[in-house]
Amino acid sequence: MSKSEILDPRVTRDFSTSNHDLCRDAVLAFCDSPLYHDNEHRYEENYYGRRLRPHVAKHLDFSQPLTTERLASYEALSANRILFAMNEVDFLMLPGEAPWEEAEFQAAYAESHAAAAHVGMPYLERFLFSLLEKEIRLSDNWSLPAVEEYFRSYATESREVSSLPSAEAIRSSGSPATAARDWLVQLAPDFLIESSPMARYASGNYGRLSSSLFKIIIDELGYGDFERKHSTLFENTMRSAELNSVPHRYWQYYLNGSLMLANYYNRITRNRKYVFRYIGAIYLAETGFITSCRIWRDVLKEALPDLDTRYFDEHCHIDIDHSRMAFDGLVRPAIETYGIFAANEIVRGFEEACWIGEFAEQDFVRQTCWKDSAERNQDRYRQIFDKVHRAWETGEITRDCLDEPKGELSITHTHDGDELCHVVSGEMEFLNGFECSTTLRGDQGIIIEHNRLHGALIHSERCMYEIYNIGDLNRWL
Amino acid sequence: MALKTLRMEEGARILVELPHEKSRLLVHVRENSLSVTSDMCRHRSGPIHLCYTDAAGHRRCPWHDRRITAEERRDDVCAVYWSQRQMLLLVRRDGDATPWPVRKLTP
Repeated sequence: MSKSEILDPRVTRDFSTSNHDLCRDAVLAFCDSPLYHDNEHRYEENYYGRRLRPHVAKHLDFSQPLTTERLASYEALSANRILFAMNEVDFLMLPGEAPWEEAEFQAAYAESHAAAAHVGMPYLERFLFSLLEKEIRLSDNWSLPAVEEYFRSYATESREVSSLPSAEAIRSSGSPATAARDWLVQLAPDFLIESSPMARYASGNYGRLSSSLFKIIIDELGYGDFERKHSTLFENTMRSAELNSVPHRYWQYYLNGSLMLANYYNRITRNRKYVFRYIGAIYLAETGFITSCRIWRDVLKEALPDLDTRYFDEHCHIDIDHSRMAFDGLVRPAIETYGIFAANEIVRGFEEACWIGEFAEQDFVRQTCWKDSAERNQDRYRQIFDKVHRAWETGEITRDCLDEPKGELSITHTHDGDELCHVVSGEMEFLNGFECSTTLRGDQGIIIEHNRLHGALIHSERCMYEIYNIGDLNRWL
Repeated sequence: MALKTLRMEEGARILVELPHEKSRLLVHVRENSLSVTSDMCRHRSGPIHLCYTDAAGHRRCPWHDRRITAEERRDDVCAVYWSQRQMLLLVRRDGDATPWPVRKLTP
């Protein structure tokens, strides 16, 4: 017998992300939990609940990586929701004051549940993030002097930024207060558990880099003082905006981009081979936040005068140190020790985090615009409904007919094409997004823009409505 | 200025001149890669971007017909290409402020 003959597979020898059947089984097994099934609550009332619309998951195909064109698709949103929930098996979540059910705690951390997550996470990460290899191409010759030059330039430019798309979206919204609260909700997936991804690197044995990173971690965790912990400061911010700070109460309103950004940081911290990408990403975050937090603080305070801004004040202050610490304590020694590989990976992490951050911000900008366009989309419905209905009669387009009882909630979701919603009878509260609704009754309707998060709640005893798949709205105008 | 950004479609090539170092680089955005290589033939510094392909499929320098056997990787300039925006970033390693002309090569 050869000592190199190890394998003796009973089921499989392939645990890679190329084993689509194994990975798909893991994803579906993970999703099959009452914690994730659809329910009737527009805000999450179960501390461990994360609505994933799991009954749809078996019809989605995560085997081929996303293309940039499909980044805003429903498949991407679904994958991001599932992946975020999977990462939570690594983080301890216990409610301080919210109701706690031991049975659900056991279910959330069941070993089979965690095992399915650990098989599924690389698979969904491959699906979501492979496109970055093509979207961002790097020469393979980065060195410390070049990284220093580039990062110094970025630090200088970022200090001169006077506004951000998210801030402008809030300021110019039809309801700046709602948009401001929505922005706080989009920051919540990361900030309510701040530093949990980073804290993964508190473990192991990797020399002085570990101590440099740990100095940033202890700042983020408030030096052991709960009231100074960054996630506590953000909870205070949320409460001052009259938001519920229990994670993740507003789960259904987390946009695809917001979840994707959180999932990216999870990816580069969960799998330690991405440590250098994480160093690049953390340099970006700590440097960019000096200005971003100031801009966000100012616009949020304009829209919400009673806002507790200490979370943002803290970042404006401490990130000046963190940026320097990230470069001198992480970037420089990493490249000096690990060479060109580290330099290339650091720049890649910096670029990837920047790219996804911009995608997430634009997602919020578009969602805010979509919410503000509720009346215009009702006008458009009236403008084109007859034409659309005739097209359905001739078989040119398809429609779905639904008849739902009072209290039925369509968990928020997106469609890949434009749709027309026509209420035949009854009353529906069409959810345009976070804290934005449109009441629709018989012979009323609305255009549902592609890739925009929305839902519906039935208020009448029964509501009959039709969804027409119109593809591209412009074709009908 | 040690950084330059320019619009560049996939497949395009950029010539970068570093007069103070008497060197010339070729930046090439390919479908799945981005390379920074010397544009100077090892023989007598002939322009590699003008090389021709012989009947056997080998690339040859236009000046003395020497075969170009391998691209010489250079690290004087590093690059990032953002595909969606079709933008290229060039970063000079030495941070020198002396002029360094760049031009896009016609296909």
